[in-house]
Formats: sequence, C-alpha cells, structure tokens
Amino acid sequence: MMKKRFMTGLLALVAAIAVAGSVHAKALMMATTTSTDNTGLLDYLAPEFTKDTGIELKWTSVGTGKALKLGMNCDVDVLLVHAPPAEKKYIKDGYAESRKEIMFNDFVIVGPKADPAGVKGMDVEKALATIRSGHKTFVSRGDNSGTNKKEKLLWKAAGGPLPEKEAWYVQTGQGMLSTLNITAERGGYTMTDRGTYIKYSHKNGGNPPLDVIVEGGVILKNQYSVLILNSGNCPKAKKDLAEAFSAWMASDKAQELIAKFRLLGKPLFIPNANQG
Amino acid sequence: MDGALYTLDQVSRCYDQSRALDRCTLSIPKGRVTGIAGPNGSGKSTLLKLLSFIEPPDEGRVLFEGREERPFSPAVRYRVTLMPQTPFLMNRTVFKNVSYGLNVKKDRTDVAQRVSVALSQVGLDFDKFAGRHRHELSGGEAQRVALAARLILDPEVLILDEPTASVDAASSFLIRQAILAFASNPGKTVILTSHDAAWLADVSDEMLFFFRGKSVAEKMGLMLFGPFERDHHTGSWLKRGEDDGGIPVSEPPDPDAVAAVPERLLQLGGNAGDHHAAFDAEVREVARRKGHSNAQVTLIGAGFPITLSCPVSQTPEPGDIARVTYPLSSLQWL
Amino acid sequence: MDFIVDGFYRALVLLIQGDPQTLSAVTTTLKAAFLSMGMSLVIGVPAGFCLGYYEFRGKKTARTIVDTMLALPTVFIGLLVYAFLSNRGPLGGLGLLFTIPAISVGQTILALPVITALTASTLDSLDKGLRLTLISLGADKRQLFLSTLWEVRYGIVAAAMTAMGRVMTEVGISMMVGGNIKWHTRTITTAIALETGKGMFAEGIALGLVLLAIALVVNVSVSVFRR
Repeated sequence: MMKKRFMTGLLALVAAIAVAGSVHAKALMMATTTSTDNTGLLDYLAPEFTKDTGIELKWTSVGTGKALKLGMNCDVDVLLVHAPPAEKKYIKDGYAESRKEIMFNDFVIVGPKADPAGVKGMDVEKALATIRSGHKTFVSRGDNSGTNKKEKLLWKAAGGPLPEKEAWYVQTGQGMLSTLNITAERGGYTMTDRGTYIKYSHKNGGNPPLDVIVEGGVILKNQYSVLILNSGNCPKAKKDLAEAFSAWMASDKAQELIAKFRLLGKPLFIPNANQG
Repeated sequence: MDGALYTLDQVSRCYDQSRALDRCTLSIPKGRVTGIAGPNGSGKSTLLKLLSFIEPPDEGRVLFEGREERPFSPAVRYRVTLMPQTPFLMNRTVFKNVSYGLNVKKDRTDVAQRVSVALSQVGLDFDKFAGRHRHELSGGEAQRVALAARLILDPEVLILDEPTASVDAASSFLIRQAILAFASNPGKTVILTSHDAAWLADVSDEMLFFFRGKSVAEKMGLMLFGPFERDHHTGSWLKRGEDDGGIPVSEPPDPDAVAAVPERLLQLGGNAGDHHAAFDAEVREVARRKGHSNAQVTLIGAGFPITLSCPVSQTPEPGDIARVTYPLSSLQWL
Repeated sequence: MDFIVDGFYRALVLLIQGDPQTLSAVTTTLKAAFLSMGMSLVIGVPAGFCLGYYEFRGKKTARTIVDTMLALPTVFIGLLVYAFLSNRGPLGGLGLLFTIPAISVGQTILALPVITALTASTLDSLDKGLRLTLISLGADKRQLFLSTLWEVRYGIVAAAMTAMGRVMTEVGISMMVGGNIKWHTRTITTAIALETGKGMFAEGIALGLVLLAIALVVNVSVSVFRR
C-alpha cells in the first residue's frame, strides 16, 4: 500500500518534469541586456513578431558581458546588445558571424539645473574636460556595464587618463537609477542612457533635480544590433530562426513600430536598419 | 537439552567495553514459566533482549528449537515478543498501538474485537481508552496498554522485563493477573524478571539466577564483595564486619571475585568446625507464607544481606543476633 | 516609504484582477518548488534517517559536512548548476538551461541539506525505546523504517516547511539558471528583482506580499494536517 503510493507519487513527479520541460517547436532563445528589457520595447515587439512569423521569442536579460558569454557558451540562439566595439571583436574572435544594426538611442550628460561647471550645450568631449579641470563632482556606475564602458570611452575622447582615483570622481557600482539618485544628492554630473532618464524624470513628477546638460553627437550614440552566432561554434543554435528575427527587426513594419514606441509618452529609439 | 526451547551456547554481548553477557551458557524449557533473578546490572535485560531476538550476540549462538536464529528471522518474529522494562507507546491512539503487531503481520480479521479483548485482559475499558493518546494515560495504564499490544499477538513465548516496576499497585495487580492468565494456556512459555523476589519465586516454575553476565547454578543466600582480609594470627581469609566479627571465606582468586554460598546450605545455629564456617549476623526479617513449612529469614552480616530458610518452629525474632553456619566447601567464587 | 503603502494597494489589485503576469509568476514559483521539494524529500529523508538513526564511524564528520552545506549561497549554487547545464558543460546536451527543471535542480541542492540535517536531528533525539517496541511487536526492517518515519512525521513536516521557505524565496538560482524569462521561468522572486531593478518598488512590494500570501496558505494547510 505504501509502495503503491510511493510509485504513483514518483510517476507524477516525472510527468510534472516532462510537462514543465516541454519546449515549443518554434521558439527562439535570446540574450539581451537589462537596460534593453527595462525599456519595455521587447514586450511591445515580441507579440508582433510571433504573429508575423509564428516563432515564440524568449529572452533573458543580463549584463552585456554575460550576454556575450551566453552566446559563447551556446546557451542562447541570438543576441541583441548595444556595444559595437565589443561586438566587432566578438565577430573577429569567431563567436558571431554577423551583426545587423537595428536602432539606436543616445546617452546624455545630466547635471544640476544650475550647471555649476557651466558646460551646457558644449560638445561632450569639451564638457568632460571642463568638468575635470574644475574638479566638479562626476558620478560613474563603475560596474563595467555597457553604459560604464561607454562612459570610459568618452573620458578617453576628452583626453587624459581615466579619473579613477580622483576625489571628485564617484563610482557607485550600482544600476543606472540608483546612480542618478546619488548624482542628484551630490549635486554632480553623470552619464545616462536616455531611456533611464525618461523614467527618472517621470518618477520625479516630470520635474527632476537633474536636467539634460549635454546631448547629441555621434559619440553619444547607443547602437543596438542583432548578432547571429557562428554556427561553427554553436552548431545547435537555431540559426534559421535567428536570421528570421534579424530580418524581421530590420523590416519596414518593425522599424516603424520601433519609431512609434513611447516610453512614458516620450520617444526613445530611432530605427536605422536600412542605413549604410 | 531435550524439551529446551532455548539454548544459549557461550553467548557474549558487549556494550561500550563492558560485557553484559559473559560466555553465558543456559537453557530454558518450553511451556513453563521461567523466572530470572539477579542483582541490577547482572545482565538480565540483555539476556531478555537476546532471547527475544531484538539484538544478536557478539559471540556464541542463541538456539531456538535447536536452530540458531537472529533478529528479524521469520521463524521467530511472530512467535516471540518482549515487553521491555520501560515500554514505549507510539504517538498514536491506544487502538493503533495495540493493533500495530497485527498490522505488521497483515492480520486484518476482527481487529476491533481483538483489541477490545486484549484491553479487557489488562483491565482497560475499550470505549474509554481506545481513542486516547499516550499523554492521556497514567504510567500504569500505559504499561497495561503495552502488555495488551503483546497479548493480542498470542505469541508462543512472552518475555517480560520487570513488568511491574514503577507502576501503581492496581496496575501491578492487573498486570500480574494477565500474565498468569496467559501462562495458564497450554504450550505457552513465559520468561520474566522482577525485583519482587517473592512474587517471582511464586509465579515461576523454574528459576534462573544471574550474576555478572552468566547464569549461576542456584540461588545464593550469601554474596560477599571484596575487599577481603587475611587474619594475622590464623592466616585465614575473611570479610570483616563493623564490629570485629567477620565472615570466613577461602582465598579469593582475584580482587574482583565475589564469594557466594547457596541458600540451601546456610543454616541457623551450629558451630564452627573443620568443615564448617560460622559467623554471627543480625536478624532483620522473618517471613512466613501460607502452605510453607519453612520461613524465609533475612539477616545482615558484615554489611551484606543473607537469606536462608529455616523451619517455622525455629524462627528467630527480628533484632536477635543469630549464628549462621555453612560448609566451607560450598563457598564459590564468582 | 510611500512605496510600501502603494505596494499594499497594488498587491490587492494584482490578486483581485488575477493579473496574468503575476499568475504566471506564481505558477512558475509553485511548479519549481513542487518539483524541488519532491526530489529533496525523496533523497533527503532517507539520508537524514541514516544520518540520525544509526551510529557509525564518521557520523560526526558527515553531520558537519551536511551542516556546512546549509550555508551554500544561492548564487553560488546557481553558478554551479549553470556550469553543468550550459551547452558548454557536461550536461548541456539535456537542454535544461532556462527551464523550470533547471531551477528545480538548483533548488533541490539548496533544500537537501536542510531536509537531511533537520531529519537527522529529529531522529537523533528519538526515544530509543521505539526501536525496541517495534521489533518486539514483529516489525521487519522495512516496517521499522516506515513506522519510525511515521513516528517522527511532525519533525519531518517541520523540515519540509523550512526547506520550502528557502526554496520559494531564493533568487540566485532562479535568476542564474532560469533566466527570468517572461511567461516561462519568471518566478515571483525574480520578478521582484526585475521590478526593483527597474525602480518599480511598489510592484516589488506587491509581489512580495503575494508570495507571503502563498506561504500563509501553505502553512495553514499544513497546520490543518498537524491537527
């Protein structure tokens, strides 16, 4: 009697595992970044993608570094990231075979309304150099994320070594929103992606303590691309589905959807799949 | 060995360095009540555990009906049951406790009826007790439930370790009744121990005496522990008492040996002689029983209890100093 | 601070409206927990039994090892399981990564020491008289094992509740090997992490309260059983 109960329990367990692990025939596994996912763009695009192609899009959002690692380990079928220098190296190293640029948004420098460093409207390189010479507080994420890597690039462009140990250079090691909060408290400057700034502004009732001080310029561009994994490295990756995704993202319909996407009522992305 | 249900052959059993049973050899007859007497720590409980096949011997063999058996052996599992010294009731109703042994055998016929019968055999009312849990029972009631759980199995061999220890008088009476009732059925073997020496002697057909892990030939009336001394003048050995007197013994073979004299060879009165030893002891208790022409006398000598039997007409008064004699040759070292 | 109050309102809204995303997170949490609890009980109870009931050489060492494993951080377990289940890893061929069974594997590793250690403790403190009684009433080895387990059933239930608490509230494993994929492997805890990361603290609080509500339901049903 006990044995019978035990056996039925075991069978139920096995069945549960089987059901829980059942995979849809046409499902595409993607790795992307937390900031991409947090905009809500994917929640907006995925149903349309499935409607048009019959493929279910599943994605996990992690840091840029981890996304690339997942691609290396063939734990996903396709990548959507925004770190062009790293992507190009990735292809060179043989982990991906191609990349397709899909859309971009931008980074901005934000700071107190009063602009103590007096850098409003400048080019970003000049602005950072001015902040540096004026020893004005600058807050960095300092966490080696995609955003952080971009910021380091800007310092390089502004000239001089990375202000690692400078007293006015604050490294939080945290996410973008927390970093913005800290920046506002310190009355300093920081670099953020526009999407997070829109959210931050919204949270502060449309009148946040930090304003956009510097924007524009190619160097502040944040380019998003779809990466197709190298089938030599990952023979089991669903390349055909990945390519379908890439093609769809570049299609007129998707590009229009991207342009129409609003985050808290503000536009965020500019589609550029069919340029250069 | 014929008619012997159990035979122990050079059986030893050790716990943590000490030998509870030490090369013990004995046999137990079938269909009788065998009582096992002996001081605490003599190994009686261990013996009972081996006889009920709950633990195996470390050395030697335990034979049941001539065949060596061990714990969980199907040949003995349902035929022998032990009631331990402190019986343990499981965390379930009295009914479930009593019927457990039947469940184990998958014996499902008339369970409720049989539980009711077993409970009545120990004087417990089914309606009042069947649904109770162990925390709702007194010590005596719990002991009786435990006994009922064994009686319901109708075993061939019922082994009981101190069945009425730490139990109230009413429960003690009911338990003894139940044991006697069980024993009166033909073919039933009962083996038990009890601190109540008188009751044990009364209820047993056979007696086994146990001391330091072995059975001893017969009941000892005198058991003396060391240290022993040698008298300067005479050169003979004795156990010195408080007041210069002492009990003569022979030379001890080793410091831990115990001097023992069988009860039947101890006598009141008489004198020391070539072959007899004599000493004085104070009479503590005289016990006479119906139907017995002898009385049991308990004395204290050299600080140790002495028991002997003497004709009713010659019984001393408690408080008297009496002379006790025994043949020197009958003194054994254990 | 007002996000906490906000969170209470949101929790009620989510529950009453039967928000599909929340429902999905709840069922994912429960599926993963059910699987991992099942596996850890099947392995852990007998293991704990052996560890607590018998005396043997090296018992103290074994117990120390099990107790140490109680301190395994969930992210560490997550990393280990990822290493095995990744396509690059030895069990990659099973294709379990980013699925509920993968989460369950990690959660089983988390729950096992809890069940084993607590079951062992329960059995260690068991009255020795039980064994004597059971054998004297004719139990064989299998019946001895089962009846002993039944005798300590409340202790084992307590062990299961403790393990369940750890399993339902962990994030490190679900995040690492589940991937927090919406509709598929998003558990309540990974959803909380996500919302908090997005700055949606009220949502985070709301989901946390939903989790507490589930825990309450589970514990109430268990206490009914105890009666």
